[in-house]
Amino acid sequence: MEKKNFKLNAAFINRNRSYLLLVLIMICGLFAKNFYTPYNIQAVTGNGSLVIWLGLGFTIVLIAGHMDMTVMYMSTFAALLTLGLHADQKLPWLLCVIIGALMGVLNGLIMGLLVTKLKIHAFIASIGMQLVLRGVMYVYCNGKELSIGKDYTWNDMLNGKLIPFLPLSTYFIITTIFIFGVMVILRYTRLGRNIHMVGGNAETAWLAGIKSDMVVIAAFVISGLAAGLGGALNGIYSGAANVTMGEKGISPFYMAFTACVIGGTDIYGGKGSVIWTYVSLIMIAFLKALCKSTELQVLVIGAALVLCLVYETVAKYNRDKVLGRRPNLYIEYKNETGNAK
Amino acid sequence: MSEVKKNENTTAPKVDTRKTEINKFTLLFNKLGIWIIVVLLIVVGLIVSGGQFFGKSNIQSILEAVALVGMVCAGLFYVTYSGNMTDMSVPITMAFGGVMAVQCINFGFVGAIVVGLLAGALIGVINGFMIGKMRANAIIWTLAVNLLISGVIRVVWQGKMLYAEDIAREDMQDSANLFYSISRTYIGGVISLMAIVMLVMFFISWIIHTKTGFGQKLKIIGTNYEVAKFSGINCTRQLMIAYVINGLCSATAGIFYAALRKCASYENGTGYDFDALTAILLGGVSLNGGKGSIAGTIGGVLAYGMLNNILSWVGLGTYSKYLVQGIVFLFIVWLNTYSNRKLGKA
Amino acid sequence: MSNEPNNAGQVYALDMQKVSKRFPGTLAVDKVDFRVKKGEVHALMGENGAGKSTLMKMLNGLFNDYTGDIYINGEKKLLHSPMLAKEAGIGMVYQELSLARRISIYENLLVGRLPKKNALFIDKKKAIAEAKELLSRVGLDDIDPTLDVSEISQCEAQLVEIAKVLGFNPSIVVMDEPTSALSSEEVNRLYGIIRQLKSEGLAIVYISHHLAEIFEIADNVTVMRDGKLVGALPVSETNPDHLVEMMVGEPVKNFYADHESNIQKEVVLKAEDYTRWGFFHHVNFELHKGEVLAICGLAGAGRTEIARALIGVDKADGGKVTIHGKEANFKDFGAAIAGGLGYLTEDRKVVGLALNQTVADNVTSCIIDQNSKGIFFNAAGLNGLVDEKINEMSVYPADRDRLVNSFSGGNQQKVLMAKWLASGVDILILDEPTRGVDVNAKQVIHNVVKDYVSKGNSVILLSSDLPEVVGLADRAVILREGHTIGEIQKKDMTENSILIAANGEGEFVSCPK
Repeated sequence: MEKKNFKLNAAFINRNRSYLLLVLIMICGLFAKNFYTPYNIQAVTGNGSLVIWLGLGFTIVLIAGHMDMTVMYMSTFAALLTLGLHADQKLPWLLCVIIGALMGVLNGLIMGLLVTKLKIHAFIASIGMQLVLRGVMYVYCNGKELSIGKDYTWNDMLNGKLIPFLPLSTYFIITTIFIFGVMVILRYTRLGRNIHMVGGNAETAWLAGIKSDMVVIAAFVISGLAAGLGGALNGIYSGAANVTMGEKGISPFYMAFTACVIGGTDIYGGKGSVIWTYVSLIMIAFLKALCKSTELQVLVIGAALVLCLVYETVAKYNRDKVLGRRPNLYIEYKNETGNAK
Repeated sequence: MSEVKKNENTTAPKVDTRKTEINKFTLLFNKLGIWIIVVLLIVVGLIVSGGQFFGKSNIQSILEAVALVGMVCAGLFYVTYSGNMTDMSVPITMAFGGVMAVQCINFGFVGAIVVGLLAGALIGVINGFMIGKMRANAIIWTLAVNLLISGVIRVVWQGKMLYAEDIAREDMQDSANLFYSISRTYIGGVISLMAIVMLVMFFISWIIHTKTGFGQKLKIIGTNYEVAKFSGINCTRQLMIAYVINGLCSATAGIFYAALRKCASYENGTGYDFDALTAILLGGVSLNGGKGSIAGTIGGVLAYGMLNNILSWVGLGTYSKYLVQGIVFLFIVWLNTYSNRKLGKA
Repeated sequence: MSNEPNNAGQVYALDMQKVSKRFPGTLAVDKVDFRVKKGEVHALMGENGAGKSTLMKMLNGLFNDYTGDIYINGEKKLLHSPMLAKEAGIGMVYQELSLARRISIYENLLVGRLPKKNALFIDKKKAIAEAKELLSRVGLDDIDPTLDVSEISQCEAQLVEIAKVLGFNPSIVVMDEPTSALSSEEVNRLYGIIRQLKSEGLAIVYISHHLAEIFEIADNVTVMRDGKLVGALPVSETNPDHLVEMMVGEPVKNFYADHESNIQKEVVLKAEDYTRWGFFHHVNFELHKGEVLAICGLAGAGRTEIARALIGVDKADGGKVTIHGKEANFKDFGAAIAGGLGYLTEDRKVVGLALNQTVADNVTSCIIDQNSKGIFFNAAGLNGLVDEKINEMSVYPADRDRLVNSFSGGNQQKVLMAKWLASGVDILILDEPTRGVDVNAKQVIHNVVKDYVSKGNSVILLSSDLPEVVGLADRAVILREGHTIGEIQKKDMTENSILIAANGEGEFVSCPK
């Protein structure tokens, strides 16, 4: 019995590892100076929001059984586009944000078509699209940094508090709302469940009459929408955007990717939740605030990622070993060894 | 079509001959296709450069530009060939190799190089074990390794740039200078040492691929891992060797890169994973594994270099090159996937 | 309505009339009539390759070029796609599970037709209620439908699979070897479910090799052989011997010419108490020099598992294997080949041949180490050996530089055989060496096997093709649910005796323990 209890605990810890890690970080925060100040919390969550959008996109595509490496470039380009259009064409902010988001949708659509119609492996296709996006955005801004200019209305709005007594910026709250919206789609709509099904077993889904191609494209489009919208808002929120956004320090893509894995989204598709990724990313954001040196951040996050992967790989390795065991014989084995002992 | 034919030939189990011809043609294209593109690119290059394409300085610049990518490709070839797509830890292997070599410059020039190579081999062993033995997802695992080792380097060296002359003791300054000079040496004043090393590595790689049991085994593993396992091939060991070779090649490139930049840091090598993969796919190595040749890979590397060169002749900036590269990359991958599907694999 | 298949006024749930399906080269199903009444369990029997699965695939809409008519509940239907079959009321329980393991049970049950609350959202409550209802139909009331499929046992997953099929409200349920993953208690549970479905008026087509199951559960039985209908009769009017006779038919004369067996006293391979927990237990057998030893058993008896453990791919947990008098404990397959033990795998497309490589690459793939000088390996140096072996196997066309996937199935199998002849091992395990090949190739392979053992080598034959076993084997070890239960000598060996023994019945010489 003792053994069984222990096993249950291990499974429990593993299942809720993102929550437990968040709690751990929060406890560590008690011992840090100026950690639980409203200002700090507002800044940490606000600055961490971009990665949440990226993580969201990456997770959806991963659930559908593919990989999308373009999320970071999509968001960077969306940020550039938004700021650029406002500065040069004098378009209103709302329109700029919509155009930024649409760019993401378009890219998601292209990715989806490359993967489903041309049957290119998603990872490889996204590498190609990454290059294309990089080229397009360099051409768009000539490699210069674009800034928000003089119109700070939206910047103030996003940085400000939506609810007076909550130390959370409007940007973070929008992010959270969007996350929960996508969560609802994934969990409670037919499209969402089909995304899980296609990721879990594409053949079964096809036999049951699900249009797998459309589902995969939809996953890519949602991913593109999230990355585009997030990037556009982030451009306004931070007031500036450049092509190398996030290439210094730890790349946002890596954070999103790590959060997916730590959160527990299955790297082979079919299982996962944007909420897990969301919690993991908040955890990572606070972790970053906790250890100020970028170096240590990278190491800690990297180690956590590798640990999770090793755990999952070893678990799969052990599972595969006993695949195809005959139930009759296994009962017999238990009886025999039970008698022997 | 084939069914009808089969039914006509009832006497012997004849096979549709038409299919073979397609296969032979595809094989031929897989072998020589990239060299046709290379020739095409030369012609285009001659036109856009007004005949200066074969000028000494231009050839030098092409070779130097592709030398590092070529070195990476000489090893990465085996990873792709073994059916594991690509190694995302190439950048950090390059950086790690460079950093270790510079850090150990006090062991003398040779010692530094050896330590740098060992560093690359270490990453190869880690990858080989997890992917070959534990069957981890190759891309995800190497991405994770990239992040982890990057963290280690940053913490240990505090994210600083490393300069050989700062680290070297008084009596070791010669080694430091020698280290820097390897990327600036021209044999006979014409051809860069980097290009020579690249060619030598490709030659060794060609020997390994075509003449050794390892190359033959890897071909079967790349085509079908299970078949290899049930042919008595020790897949774990072969994949381990493949990743170690890949680590060594990336580390070599990293050492030359560190010497070229005159400093080593965790950033060295950023972007080389994609560049090398592009060149390899251009060279006709199949992403599904088991198909491709070193000659093709060399062609891919050259084509990649010449494409960049031509784009600068045309006057495209560094940035807009990405766009063209991306489109070319996607096209090539599509061609690759498409021809494989036509062959009935995919 | 003139065509309506009335038999004394009764409408059959399923009536297939003169259906045929041609594959290139073979007529897999030849003008077969197959009728199932409402509320009956109808067993479909036949040996491997008799055409049962082709017939059922046809019913499931996987072919769009069959000939003949299919009537469902008296209405003529065209079953040209899986969706059409589903709409016509046919539910197929696949042998291998087609569930998504990391997805919850209720979603697997209701895949593609989750109920909606309004235009947007799915109605989870309703879905779970529906799932519970389906689960209770298969006796899984106590299972929480929100669990993942990976969290329930294999048996429960099999029942979930049945429940999933029931969810489409079929009038005909096809079960293909549904007990292969179940323990004996679970099988009884399945019987209960089948009887329940029967009382609800469903027609059930039950495919199984296990005679005991047929007599336990089926009302009527249809037997097929070589793509043709042999007969249909009520189970009460038959007995196991009669059924086996129908399945086996008259033995083909002269196809297996008697060969001089050259069995020597020397034991080359001996397994004692060989065990891999959960896969096979306490397996005992001896292989003599120059002998073809068949290991016979029904599907899932553990034949392939024993072979995998012998060659070192899987690790055995107990017992002892001696090869040439020395205890053998190979750590991988490479070591086994070096020790003289080869294994021809059962599925050439998945684990047998590297289809996208040339014949030469495939044939030499298991002898790379033996022919390397240091690390160097000269592929061209083996061309002579490759040519010799593919000529011996009469591979057509005899071109060693051709890609394997451009060969016909029979020639691919010959290439696979050539690979193991080239390996130079003296004990060869053949796992289904002639599955899915034409008669010519079969003949060639059999002759080569005879030739091989006459040179003093030994063969372990794992085959479910009974005429092949009878024709080739000198002795047969009977394996039943992971245990060796006895052996049959050459003189007593007929298809009937093997089949009956594999079902755990009949008389045979007991295994010396």
